[in-house]
Amino acid sequence: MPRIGVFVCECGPNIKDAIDIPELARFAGQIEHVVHVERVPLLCAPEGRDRIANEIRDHDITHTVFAACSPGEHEKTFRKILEAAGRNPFMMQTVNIREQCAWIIHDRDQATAKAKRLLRGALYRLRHHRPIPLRAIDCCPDVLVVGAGVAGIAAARTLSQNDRRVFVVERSPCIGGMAALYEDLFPDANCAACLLEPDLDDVLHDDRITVLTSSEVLAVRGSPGNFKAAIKQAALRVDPERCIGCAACLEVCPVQVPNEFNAGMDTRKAIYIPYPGALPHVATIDPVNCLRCRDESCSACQEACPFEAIDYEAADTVREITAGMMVLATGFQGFDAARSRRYGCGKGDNVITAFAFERLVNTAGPTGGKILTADGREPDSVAFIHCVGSRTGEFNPYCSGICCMTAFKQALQVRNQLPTTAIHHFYADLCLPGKSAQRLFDKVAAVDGIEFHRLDRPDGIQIRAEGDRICIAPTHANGSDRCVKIRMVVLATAMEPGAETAQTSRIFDVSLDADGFFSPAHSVTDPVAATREGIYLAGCCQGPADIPSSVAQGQAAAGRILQKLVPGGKITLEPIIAVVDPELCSGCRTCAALCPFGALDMDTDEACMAVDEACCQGCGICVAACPSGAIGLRHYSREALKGELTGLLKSDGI
Amino acid sequence: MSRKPKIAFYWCAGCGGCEESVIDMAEELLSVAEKADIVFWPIALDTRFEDVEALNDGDIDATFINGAIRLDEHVRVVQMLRRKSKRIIAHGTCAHLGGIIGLANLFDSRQLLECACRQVPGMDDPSAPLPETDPGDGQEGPTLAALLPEVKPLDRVVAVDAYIPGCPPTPETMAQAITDVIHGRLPEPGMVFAHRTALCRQCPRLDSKPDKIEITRFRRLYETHWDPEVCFLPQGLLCMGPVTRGGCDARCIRANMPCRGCFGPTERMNDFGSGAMALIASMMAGEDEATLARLVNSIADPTGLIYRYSLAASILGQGPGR
Amino acid sequence: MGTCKPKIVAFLCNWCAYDGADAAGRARLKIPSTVVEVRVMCSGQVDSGMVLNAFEAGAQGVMVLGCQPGDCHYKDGNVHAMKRMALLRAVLKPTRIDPRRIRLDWVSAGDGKRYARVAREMMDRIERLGPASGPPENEHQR
Repeated sequence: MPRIGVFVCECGPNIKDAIDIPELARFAGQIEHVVHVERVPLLCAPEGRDRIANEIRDHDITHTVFAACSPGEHEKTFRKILEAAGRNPFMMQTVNIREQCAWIIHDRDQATAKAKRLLRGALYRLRHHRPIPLRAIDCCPDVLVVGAGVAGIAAARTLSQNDRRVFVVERSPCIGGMAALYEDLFPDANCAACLLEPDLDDVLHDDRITVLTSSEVLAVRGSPGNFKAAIKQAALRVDPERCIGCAACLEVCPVQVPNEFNAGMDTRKAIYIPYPGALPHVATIDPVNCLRCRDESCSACQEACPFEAIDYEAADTVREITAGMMVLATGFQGFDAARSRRYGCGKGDNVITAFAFERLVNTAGPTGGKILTADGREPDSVAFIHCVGSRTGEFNPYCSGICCMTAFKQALQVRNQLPTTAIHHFYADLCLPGKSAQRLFDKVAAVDGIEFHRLDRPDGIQIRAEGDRICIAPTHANGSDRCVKIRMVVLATAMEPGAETAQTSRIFDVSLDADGFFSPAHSVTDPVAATREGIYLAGCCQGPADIPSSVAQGQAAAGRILQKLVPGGKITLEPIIAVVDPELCSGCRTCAALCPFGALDMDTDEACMAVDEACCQGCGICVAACPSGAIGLRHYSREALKGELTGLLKSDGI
Repeated sequence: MSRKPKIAFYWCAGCGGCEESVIDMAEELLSVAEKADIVFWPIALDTRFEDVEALNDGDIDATFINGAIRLDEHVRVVQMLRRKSKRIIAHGTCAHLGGIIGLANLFDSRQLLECACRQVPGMDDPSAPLPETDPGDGQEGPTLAALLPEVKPLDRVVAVDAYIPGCPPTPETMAQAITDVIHGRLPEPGMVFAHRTALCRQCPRLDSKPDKIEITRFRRLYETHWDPEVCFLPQGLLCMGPVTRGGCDARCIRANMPCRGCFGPTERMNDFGSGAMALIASMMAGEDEATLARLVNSIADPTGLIYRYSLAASILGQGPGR
Repeated sequence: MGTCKPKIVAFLCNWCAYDGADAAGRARLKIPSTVVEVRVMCSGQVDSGMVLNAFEAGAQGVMVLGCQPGDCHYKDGNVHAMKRMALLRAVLKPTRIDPRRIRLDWVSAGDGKRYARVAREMMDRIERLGPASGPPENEHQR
């Protein structure tokens, strides 16, 4: 038999003046199971709190109603009072007679009438409350970081602590991502290698961080605090413990293929070091192009290696690691301009992407840092085309945010190397956010020999090769063409989700947004969390970002994890969650696909759905979706809500 | 001395199918008649209201009532039977939930009589007489029962002890229930002769039901050739299996027809329609008002579809139409 | 009850709409006194059964108020609410409950003005529709 105590807060004049509290108290007192009604001047006052806890104990109150301000203000306070009184914190209901009653109804009788309704609703609801246990689970303090670009590296370094291991999984043979391939970084033309290398070295030499290159995550199971990831590492035919990067093998390899690290502008061998300065500085065998891997006979590299580092029989390995939480930092890919006929791609060797230009100016690139056309000459004119694949309904409707800055940085690089080369910028609008972009633009605009051509829309341009020149024609609304003839064209291509993003989203069960990037849990209030509890996002995998933003997100994701994943600590589970009644569940799985958090799975033994308590956030979507009512929401049972409605709406007594 | 158990049968507004599922006991009926006293069974025996009324209260061990409450006469009879019976067992969907007859609650009695007596094809006279309850003008003579303002399931009129759902119930279940009664095993109050879980649990096509179903247009049976091995739902056909209590051995599915929900809702859902709406909404593809409106419009008569058997038991079905 | 204003239930999602209603209070805006609020975790928690229960308990109108599309705290609960309410309104059309008695809308956290406007509009609409025909008393006797 419940014994209900009702505490009505006067809230100074706020409630006292607007509502007839003695009448409200009298009304409450005559409702079934109410054994104690008390007026309190200020429920949230510290003195009041202990006194009320005592009252609850003294009167053997089992269920408590606090009629006061909004639960948004003091529900937590009231739960603490219950805990102080030795009661389960969910055996109470807050009635909002201030914000949603006293303050919005200016007639005392009407306000009192509504207060009675709200109170009675709470009293009828309360009978159906059950104690909810607060549970915590042990968590594994280790963290998995997927992607070793600047965002992933920032996360890994921030997370690295004693009592915790960090696993970094990187698809390519080296770490550092795209940024390691750049020469200078905007806005101040810092040397990329100088900035990055110390951090990359730290990571490689940190005993608490395990870096797995040439690796990918195959599958993920488990829940926050206890994820299990299956990681495949491609066969290490070159033993990284023995290889010192002397490059003797490279010289003798008979195979040559286009070098993707230089945007195809030169070739590499089937055994290769990705680029000079690549870390870790060891050779890798490309199994697709290596003759030996294709069962043809060749042992050239093995014979040439002074350190016996090459073993052709090495195999792929799969290992399972356990991690409490995970960070996705898988980066981006550039828009493939060949998808559009506007940009003359594939038709002229001197139409290159901004990334290819990065490699041209890189001292470790295919030309030793010299800006040269495909036939090895200095261009007398260079054009930068903005918004290639960005801001158009045809490809990507968004602005990629960093390409204008990149184009200006590259324009200055041209000017520094080639004082007389004509430079052109073709653009519809310029993206100049933040503290530095406008300054960089001003610098560029002040340089001699730079011409700006304004397009009528971002893709209002047509580029085609004409002999050894490239003809650029802006398309204007009036249809007239004005062709500019240029020797080298650099396309500022959009940042798109990486090619494996969709598959990764399935493996990790996180959502993508409309553009195909990983979607944050909430774009405003939770920007580094993925839609699945325990998984965080950093860098361009969630949308175009510059390097400082990517680093910041990596650190932020690490911060979120550090807050929750204390070594030796426990994770407190959300207490208001969905519960499946195994005697009522028919196994129809209508609920399964609707859960935003992947918390519903079929328990094959029981042949019914089971809720993963670590993942469930208590939204109730599955509860409303179940056609047979087999799922209930703790603290919001059907009976409780029906009781509340009856109490609110019953005609008599008001 | 053990006395012969007394049982009774009565039908309210029904189609006779529930009586049929009793008759389907065939030869076993003779054994029933031997072992028990059937004190009342209007469709089969020449038993009389007054004789039953003369019994002591509680004399009848169990009375099986089917059909929905439609007429004042039904109320009179079932109230009498309630007094005289230890157990009232509602069998058939009409007694359980109001049945298809409950769809009449979308209209008022006047509209129903107009439609039935004046607007039928072949009726020439638009002012043909409508049935009245008595001869009128102070004349003596037989009277007709009156339509109640709305159809009701049995338990809105008398307390019901047990339910045998189905339109009609399976002959096996009827036979089992009757046999139990005449052997002294009366059902516990509140018992429902069906599974607690929904039909999917026993459906032969459950494995072919995918987790994610996104329908852009719902279909009616005549519009499509459907795969007889695969769950109806991903094929755009509305099967009420996930909403409906099991216990019928998925007969309709095995006959390659989608479930229509005649066993009614599970114990937690007091309104079948809300379960059906939960199911259908979960399969709707689209995120904007216009797409969803089009999708909803692709369902012909959604009210009739999902409240086919249970409108009278739903809060929607109470009271005259607007 | 006499000339009492009709009762309207507002299901408010915990994250946006409930705070929107609180914001109306903080701004001391006037809200009709027969609007009663029920807090739910998400508009996606509200199923048709809950809405029908509200009518059965005596509501003349029901509002389901959640976060703007794209802002749902649980990603897409409000989209599920859209689907369910669209279907419910179609199902209600031939019945005694006029589908116009149900309104699904979005109220952002802190947007007290919007909550006040939605509540007043709903009250106007329900008053114009007049009383919904209620369920008659049961005649159940043992």
